[in-house]
Amino acid sequence: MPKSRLRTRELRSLAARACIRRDPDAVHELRRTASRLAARLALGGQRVLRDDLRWLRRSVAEARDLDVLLARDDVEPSLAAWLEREREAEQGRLVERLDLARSEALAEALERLPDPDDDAARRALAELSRRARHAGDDFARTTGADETVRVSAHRLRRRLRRLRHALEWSDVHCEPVRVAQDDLGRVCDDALLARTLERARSSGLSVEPACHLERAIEAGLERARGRWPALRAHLTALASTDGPWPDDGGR
Amino acid sequence: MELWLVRHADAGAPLPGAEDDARALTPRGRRQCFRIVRALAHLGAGLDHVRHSPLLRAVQTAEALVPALSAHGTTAVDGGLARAPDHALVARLAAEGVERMAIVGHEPWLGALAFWLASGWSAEAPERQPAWLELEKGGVLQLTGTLASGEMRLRAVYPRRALRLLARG
Repeated sequence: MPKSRLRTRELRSLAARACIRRDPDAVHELRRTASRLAARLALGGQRVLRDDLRWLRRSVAEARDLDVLLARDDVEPSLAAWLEREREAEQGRLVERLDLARSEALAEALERLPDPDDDAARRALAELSRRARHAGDDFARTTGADETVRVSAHRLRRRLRRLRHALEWSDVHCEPVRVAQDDLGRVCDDALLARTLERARSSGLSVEPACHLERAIEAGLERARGRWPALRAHLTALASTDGPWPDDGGR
Repeated sequence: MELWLVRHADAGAPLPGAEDDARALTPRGRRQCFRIVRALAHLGAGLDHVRHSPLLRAVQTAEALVPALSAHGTTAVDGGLARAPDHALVARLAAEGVERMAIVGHEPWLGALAFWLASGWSAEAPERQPAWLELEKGGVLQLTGTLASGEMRLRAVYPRRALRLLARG
């Protein structure tokens, strides 16, 4: 079965599962599948349907953030109970937002799209690599760990995710991109917990300040900056539209 | 608001045994799309939103309209455009709250929607409708006013021939 059709089937069933009951796996996979399909649109140079996929991802974003925090083992019990209540309330909002008629129409449209041709896909991969490199250069120029640095890291993480999914779709080696995206993902998850702690405290919950998280975020950002030159070289090779792909045996 | 109703461009004739919903635009259809975009630019219609049916020929026509979108313009797929228009569709379109919208769909439903918006005769009871509007493939209708039943005015009809002339500038 063509990849687009397979992913579209997944999208349908995951959207239904996420609505029927609280299902962290369905929410996570729904976001991931939507992201993979957005990468497939990027490979075909298509603009239409991207907003719909963005809408789908955003519809479950808050639920996903809460699920990520609830899965951590360093959350104190009072905060876990608060997160649990927030997630329960979010489920109702998710069902309202996740209009199944729109996701069904989106799935119908996606499954009929022809596959992108190889030349267009190759040019698109090069462009996605350049965009990730540009975001990485911006991030590498930062120092410290304030909010603007975190926004810059988050932007790089998003671009690496889009590139990774496009590489996976095209069966091109993506390990360095995946590792960098996962590293930044851990930093962004810590930053999310730090923000949530502040929100919980401002709503009257008594929880410890996030000092250890701040140290972990700073260390994570510093590590990502240190690894940037190697990743940059890899992205530069990917950004070339001729010659073999890096580290994939010249296929 | 300004509402542009665009019937999908040429996608050839349905083939026996082939899935009608997956009919793609022909090269002729792509040229028609190019002319629509040129004509819209000539008419100064920078679009805030493009709404389209999920059928492939409408998706591809909507894709071709992307250059007519303003910098912050958005697109959305709507299953209601692949069947007879109903109150829910009109409510969803109105809820978008934009000033300039294009809708890409199919006949006879696009004409029924235009007639409904301009006359107030509900397209949900087509047998009682006193007259019909029908757009040719790759043709455009322009309506202005408030997006609600009977609240819009049919401002212009652009058949392909007119679009070809407008596209030449």
